[in-house]
Amino acid sequence: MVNKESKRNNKNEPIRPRQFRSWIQGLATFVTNIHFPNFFKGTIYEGAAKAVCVPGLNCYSCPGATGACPIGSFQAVVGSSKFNFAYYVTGLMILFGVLTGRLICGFLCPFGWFQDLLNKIPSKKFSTEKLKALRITKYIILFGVVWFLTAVVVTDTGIVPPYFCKYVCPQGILEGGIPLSIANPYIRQALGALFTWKFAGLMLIIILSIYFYRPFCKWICPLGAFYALFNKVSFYKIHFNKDSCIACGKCKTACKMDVDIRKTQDALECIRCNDCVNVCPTDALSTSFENIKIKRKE
Amino acid sequence: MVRNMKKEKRKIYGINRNFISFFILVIAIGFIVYGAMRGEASTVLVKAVKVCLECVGIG
Repeated sequence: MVNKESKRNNKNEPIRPRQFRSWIQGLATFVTNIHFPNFFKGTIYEGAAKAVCVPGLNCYSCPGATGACPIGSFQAVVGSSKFNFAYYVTGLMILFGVLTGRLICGFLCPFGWFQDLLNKIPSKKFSTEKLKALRITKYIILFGVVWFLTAVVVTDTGIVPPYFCKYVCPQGILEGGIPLSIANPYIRQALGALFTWKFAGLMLIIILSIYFYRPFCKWICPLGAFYALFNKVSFYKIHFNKDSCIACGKCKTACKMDVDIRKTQDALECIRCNDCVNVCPTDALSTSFENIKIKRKE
Repeated sequence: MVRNMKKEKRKIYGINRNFISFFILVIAIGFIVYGAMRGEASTVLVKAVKVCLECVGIG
């Protein structure tokens, strides 16, 4: 058995992306919102790239947004008078899901990164282990609010509002409402009760994120719920070698999503942050894309 | 022994996991092409290039 600390000191040790997760999250957020000057102009990007969905939860009304939000786009298509199902957006989400599963939550989602940063604020941290029952809420939101309400409710105009974006999503306020209202006086004048409601929701998520790890991802996010369904079949996998495991329990302690990776490597809640892989002293845990295994050299 | 364990893990309900992954990948690509062909991408673009009033809290 080789000690991991001694291996880390080995200069021949290859650099792993998971060691720079926070930087990757920052880069992904930047790329997802690359039209930075629009923040000062109070406008949004209007180019053709907006026809393509980005993998993470990123409001298309963010001044810098490069592409479209998958959840917003799904509701826009299903809620339009022309279509009753969004094959294009669903196909894109399935594509992202089957390639990586919830790796997107761990590495690419701007709102996930935002919550990670909030959780780094020094304070007492509370476990969500006893609140596991709340996890089902995000599936109810996915199938009930995002799909069912949008597909079934009939309005006079034939156009159904995006209920999740309108009443729940805090990302729209954080990335869209706040920066646009600061830079654009016309939007600022139009703000009313709905903004207050959503702003209060955002504040609640911010406060909870300081004390709990990723409350929005665990309990509310419909996009995370969708990608979770693909953790079992995604090309990106986490492997567990039982023979190398010394049952130290470090992986379970390190997991802020309350997953015991030794029991299941495809847990719905696993956001593939790789914290468990990083702390394993015996390299019993490893990751791979399809058959290309990414593991430290013996 | 370890090799056998890995082989078992790769199966879901007796079907090779990689086969399922590729099958889902093909379905995803099919959905994208079919959706784009019937004009869904244009609907996404039209929605995404305008400020979404509901999203930003105007209504």
